[in-house]
Amino acid sequence: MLSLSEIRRLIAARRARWIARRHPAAEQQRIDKRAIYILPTGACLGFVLLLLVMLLLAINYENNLIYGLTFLLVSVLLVSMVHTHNNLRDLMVSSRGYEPVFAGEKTRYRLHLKGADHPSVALSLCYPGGERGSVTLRPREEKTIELSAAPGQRGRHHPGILRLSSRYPMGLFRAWSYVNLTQQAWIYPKAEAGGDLPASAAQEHEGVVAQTGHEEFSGLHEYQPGMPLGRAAWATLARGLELQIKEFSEPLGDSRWLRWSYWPELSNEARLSRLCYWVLRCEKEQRPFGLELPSRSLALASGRAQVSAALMALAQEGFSADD
Amino acid sequence: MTNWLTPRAVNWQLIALWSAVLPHLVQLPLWCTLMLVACSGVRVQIYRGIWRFPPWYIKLALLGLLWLGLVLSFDRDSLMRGTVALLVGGAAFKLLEIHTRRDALVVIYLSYLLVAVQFLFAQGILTGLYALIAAVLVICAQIALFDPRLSAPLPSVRNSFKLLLPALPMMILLFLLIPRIGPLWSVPLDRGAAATGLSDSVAPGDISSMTRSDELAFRAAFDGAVPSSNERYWRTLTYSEFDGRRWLLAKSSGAQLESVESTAQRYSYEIIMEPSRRPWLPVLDVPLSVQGAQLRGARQAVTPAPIDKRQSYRAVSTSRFDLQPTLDERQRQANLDFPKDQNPRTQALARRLWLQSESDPSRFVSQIAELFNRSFVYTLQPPRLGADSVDQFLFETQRGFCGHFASAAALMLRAAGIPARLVGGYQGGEYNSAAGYLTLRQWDAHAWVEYHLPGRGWIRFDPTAAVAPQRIEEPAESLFLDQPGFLADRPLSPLRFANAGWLLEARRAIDALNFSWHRWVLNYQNQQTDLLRSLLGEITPLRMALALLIPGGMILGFVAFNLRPPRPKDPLTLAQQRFEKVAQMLGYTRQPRETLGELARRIKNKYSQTSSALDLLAFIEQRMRYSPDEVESSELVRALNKVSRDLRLESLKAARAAALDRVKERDAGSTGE
Repeated sequence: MLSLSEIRRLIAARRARWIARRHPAAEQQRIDKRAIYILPTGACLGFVLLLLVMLLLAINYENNLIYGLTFLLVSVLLVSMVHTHNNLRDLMVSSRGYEPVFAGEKTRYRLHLKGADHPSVALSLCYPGGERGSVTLRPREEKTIELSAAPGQRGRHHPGILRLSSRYPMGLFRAWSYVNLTQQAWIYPKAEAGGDLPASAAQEHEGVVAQTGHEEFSGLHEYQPGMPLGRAAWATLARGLELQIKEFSEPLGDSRWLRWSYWPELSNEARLSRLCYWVLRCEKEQRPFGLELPSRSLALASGRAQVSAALMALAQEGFSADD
Repeated sequence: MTNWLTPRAVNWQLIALWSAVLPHLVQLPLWCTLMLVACSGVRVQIYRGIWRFPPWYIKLALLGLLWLGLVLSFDRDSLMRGTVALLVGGAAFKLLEIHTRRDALVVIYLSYLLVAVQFLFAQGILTGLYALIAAVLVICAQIALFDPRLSAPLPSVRNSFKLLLPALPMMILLFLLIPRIGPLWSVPLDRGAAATGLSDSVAPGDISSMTRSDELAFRAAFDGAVPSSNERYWRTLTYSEFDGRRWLLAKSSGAQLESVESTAQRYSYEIIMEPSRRPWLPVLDVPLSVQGAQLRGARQAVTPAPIDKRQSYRAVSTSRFDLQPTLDERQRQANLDFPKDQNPRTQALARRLWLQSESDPSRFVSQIAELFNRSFVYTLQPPRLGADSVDQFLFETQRGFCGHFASAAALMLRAAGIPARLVGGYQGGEYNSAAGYLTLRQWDAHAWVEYHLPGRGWIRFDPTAAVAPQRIEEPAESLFLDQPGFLADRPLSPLRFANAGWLLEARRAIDALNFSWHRWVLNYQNQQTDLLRSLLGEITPLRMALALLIPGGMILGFVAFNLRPPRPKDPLTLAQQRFEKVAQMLGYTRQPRETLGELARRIKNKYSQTSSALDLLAFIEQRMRYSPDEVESSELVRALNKVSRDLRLESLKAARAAALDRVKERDAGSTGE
């Protein structure tokens, strides 16, 4: 005998499968008119009740003007259905990456919306388990919005199928559609304080200079796309050379090595959480650090880039990063 | 779902509610208006964050006050106005607790209902127009509720028109096609002031001043010929009991219907009757059949219930008739009876005249007419009469209106031994030649006499015609205009002024418009069957469904189509698309990032005849790219169009040449074999 919640879960799973089958994933989606579903709302029920009352008045008082007003509102009801359906049509939705978060927080995805040739008013967007976002687009207007999805575990996260809905203009109907984007996010482990770094964690190679930092100029490097232009060596460019980037380094005074092998008594996830805590602590203390994980290791360094690289490495540990 | 209400939505709710309530405020007690003003003010203050939502005990106290007000201001006879006051009060209190969208929807739905309820009190054209505007405003309010934009209120109005314009034809369709059914149960109506008009007794002596109002009594539209003005007697009531002062409806009347013989001229017509709060219907004398009413004794048309709202009915009448040629003894006695101890001088006069006319009833009647014609005065302000009122009228005052003359004539007839009775109804009517109908107002109310001759039946005798023949020949208004009692209750009636020239024309045109409104909108149910039959032929459920669904589907399809993206109208875009299409046909698809000039140069090599045009296109396109100010875009459009045309032509020629070559080859091949 199935319990009610089990039945509900089964139905939800079935529904999710049906939606996924009908809406295959893609980088960018245009909402087709055949993929828009529409149903009356509670407000519509109230409106129909109102119309029934008016119809009763018209019948009992044989009042043709009340008939006329009732029929006008019936017609408005029907026309508003077309409008609500149309509000979603031909909208383009594409993925624009995500805001990295730690496990347990709501993941935030960026979506790019491009309006159709008609305005799309009061669209409501929602990932399963996430918070609702609302947006209004003028004809052909483009907007990028951020939308939170359900909180996830460390590692790769899929937000699920995006649901767009709208009740505009009369609130009598709710039209909705599903947009299945090929999106994913990497979620950092949740930082768990605890443990001590063994003595061996302290840096052995005193005096060695790490690659990047802020303090001391260490030379010029050929520009690669993505490098910060704030550090471009404009002087060398003026001399007619290729664009170069100034590289700085800082002395690794009191640096740390963070290693996977320090806490063998913990589970894998707990180890990652603890490493995450130490990464963040090193960042706070502005201490250079290196990271050694089973699948990869990061050389000693400090700065924002090192921290995000380390957090990403912790997030991807145990997953193949390329897909 | 966000439940946040924008300031615009709040403003619109107030506008919607006020526009729906406004027509009701006139007939509601003042405290309703004050309550609504107060609640609207509080709502604004709450929204501006100055005040907070009132606590429950204040709301409870207000509810108690509302209940008290309702109980004190309304009773059983004003149930409908009480209900409206309740709706207004409910909506006003709801203003005090709008937290979410759902609360706001309650106010908006109540506003719709108040707009509809307005029609229970007034149904004129202007009321209809006002209600349409109010409905648009309420729809705006509902849209504003679901529109998060904070901009000016115009988007709501524009969007409501986008909803309304396609909805209007659909509404007309539904209005025309949806069959009307009778009331499901009887409903309360407010009893207004007693309507002027006919009552169940006539006592001319009790009335010292007859105020005649221009209030509409009914309108009559004839299918064919319209009766001449001296035939326009509208029979409504028959009074056959006389107590010496008052004429009363016969208690026993209505047992059986008298026969009508010799029906020559028939009139078939429709009457649209204003509410009279009485069950009697006016019909042209003498009716043969009346739809929706029962014909009772003395050919009176009676409805089962008082006419509380405008109603229309069809009837057939004849102007030449023999009504009830033979009376049985009981009926004869009933129509001869009168108190012998009252009005002795009248009885004596009647006997004398009867002798003078040598017992010839028709000569007797003309003697009465002569008597009246000699020294009597028709007036709307006769002196009040005491005991023996008929004697006093005939021998002393000699001033009166139709009731006096009819009453005196009937009594004299009875005194002479001729069965007679009083008939009350209307006489005349203003003919609107443009729209082809008669308008009868309350001032057309009239009373006349019927006397009975064995073998001939009841004969109409109108003694007023002897005193004031113009009362019968001309419209009442032209006769009464100088009389002080005329329109005494309506000092500013347009009828006082509009008596001639263009004003009269304008009044007739407005009246005709009103008549069409009454006939085709307010009483559409009477026209529906005929109209549908003429449009659809035989009415079957299938045809009705098709007639509803096909145009309805077309309208919705039109809406959906209209909401599609519009075609680009820009000539440059069109020309460019045309060129790209031709190029693609020839196997040159425009690459992403490829300019039109580059595409033209790519094509040029293969199409020699068009190459100069293609060169020109590339040149213009390049110039446009680098110095857009020097080149008109029309130049580029022209070049693009020329290239497209030439290319298509050349490719056609090439194709034809190739086909010819193939044919030649085949011929050559076949001859070679």
